[in-house]
Amino acid sequence: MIILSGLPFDISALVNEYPENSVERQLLHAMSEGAGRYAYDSLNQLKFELLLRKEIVNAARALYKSGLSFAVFHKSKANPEYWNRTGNGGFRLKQGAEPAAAIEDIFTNGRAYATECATAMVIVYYRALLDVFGKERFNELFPEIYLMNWRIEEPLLREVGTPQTAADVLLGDRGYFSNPDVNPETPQWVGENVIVLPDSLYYGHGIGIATADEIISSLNANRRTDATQSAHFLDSVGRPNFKRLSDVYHRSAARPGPLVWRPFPPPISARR
Amino acid sequence: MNGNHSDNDSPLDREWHDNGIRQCKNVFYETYKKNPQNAAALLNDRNLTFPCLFIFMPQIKSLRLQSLLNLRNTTAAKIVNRILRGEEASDRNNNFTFWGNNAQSVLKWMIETGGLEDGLEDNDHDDYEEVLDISASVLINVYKDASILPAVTDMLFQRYKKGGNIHTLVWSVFSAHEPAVLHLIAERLRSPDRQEAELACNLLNIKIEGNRDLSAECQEKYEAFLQWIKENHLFLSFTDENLQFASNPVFCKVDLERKYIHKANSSHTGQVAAISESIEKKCLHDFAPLSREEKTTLADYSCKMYNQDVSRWGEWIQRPVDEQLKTCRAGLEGKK
Repeated sequence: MIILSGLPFDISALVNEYPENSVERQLLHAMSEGAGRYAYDSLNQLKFELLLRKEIVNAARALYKSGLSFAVFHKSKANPEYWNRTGNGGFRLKQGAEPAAAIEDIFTNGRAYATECATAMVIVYYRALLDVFGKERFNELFPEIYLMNWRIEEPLLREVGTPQTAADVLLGDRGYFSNPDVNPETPQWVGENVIVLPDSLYYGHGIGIATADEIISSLNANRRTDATQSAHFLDSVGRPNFKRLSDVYHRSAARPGPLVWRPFPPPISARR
Repeated sequence: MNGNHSDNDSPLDREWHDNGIRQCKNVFYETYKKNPQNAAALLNDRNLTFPCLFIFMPQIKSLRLQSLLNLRNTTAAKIVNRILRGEEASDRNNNFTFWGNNAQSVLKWMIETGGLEDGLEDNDHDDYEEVLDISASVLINVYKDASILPAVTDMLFQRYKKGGNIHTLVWSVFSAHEPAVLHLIAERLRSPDRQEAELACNLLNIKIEGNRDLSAECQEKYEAFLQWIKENHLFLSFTDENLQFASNPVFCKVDLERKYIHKANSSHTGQVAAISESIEKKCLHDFAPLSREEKTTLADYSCKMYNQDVSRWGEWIQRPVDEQLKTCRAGLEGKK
């Protein structure tokens, strides 16, 4: 059920603002008909969550196509033009590098990068935020980026590292397939972090875009010989703090744009 | 390099520690040129450490010394090749049975003589740590070797302080499902090293208020944690959460159902059941719909009462759950 300013919210009018089969429409139906209670202070807050979830889905698909390789932390790699590889296999934004360009580089130059599944999820979040906030505001908000599993230093994103039990699993959620009987020689397959996509699909770095059954099969293929338990999807999901990000977004939108001096008529030097 | 060197060091280890890797490799190569058997004997020295062998892995291959290595070194070389290059890994699902029981003692030697090593050259560092991580994982999960847990815990804390990756080591020590690991980590709460104390707090989900002297606060937390283990060790459950799943995983928690009916977890097989199966079933049925807070309160109260007076507890546990909650709350009120 969706609650807006304390009252149940009828989605019928809002649904029509979004195209048929769009992520936003599917989300509205899932939230309105689901077991969970989704409360918002304003329509803008709800719309922001729909927007960010859509961009998370888009970013997951884009990362899948980027050519980013899978590697354990000991073998991770990043483009040294933008990132310093840290001793634990994470990537820290280089001093002087532009945050938006550095995130974009992972998507356009994916073959220069390799990491594990959790760090890939964090990259998805940053790309989604870049698409929502725009380059200029993104650079202001995230001047220091550290990509390393769920060790998230950025206060605006911290919640994605602390999954909570959820009544519904929604598009754009970060889910987790656990593989409790993983082969001790390949502990990187102890689980798979995924972004929930439409059509009952998931994006997990290292496995790709696949159904739940396909992900479970991949993980089960990496179990110990005497395994007794199958890999399975957990009922906990990671979600950014949509409300806090919405506040930041709407504050950004409300503030005046930078003053640009546009002389009229143009200065003499420019008249050619 | 590992700071603990002694007169028992092998000649190659001594050369490495005293004069560095390059000189050590020169000495080895000169020996080889004169007599390959003598070069192999240097590697086969009983006091050779694993990191020293690891340094010479490329030379062993290029100088074709494999056939002159002893069983320990041959096995270690196979393990390294399997982990780093996937060689002989077609039977990966057979989990190291390829090497039989000999692998266990070699893996142990690798960890015990190399776990705290930090003097390798930069380009070898990641590979070396990966080998140790998987070796620890196999010892704990395949060979169920709990005796290695102190060495792996030492390695974990040392790695953290150096800024290295600890994910696999953390997963490995908790996958042992051994309460002893909690004690090993809790000891670090009293460490004068701030980083060690902080990591111990994180792994044990202990919150530090940070508004007073850290060491005094950690000492208090340490004592409280020991008390917590003492009260709950029979009912602990390892969750299999890990750092790939969450930023602050909960590795271990109290199984409230077991604590409520005073039934020890499966690792304490010698424990006598506190109540009959039919009473247990009814108790758990009534306990299930309670809120988390009610469950915690009731489980704690039940445990305390059991430890004070078993026969009184035997009567109390068979009363309706509403009544149990009332006596429990009245008991708590009376204590205020």
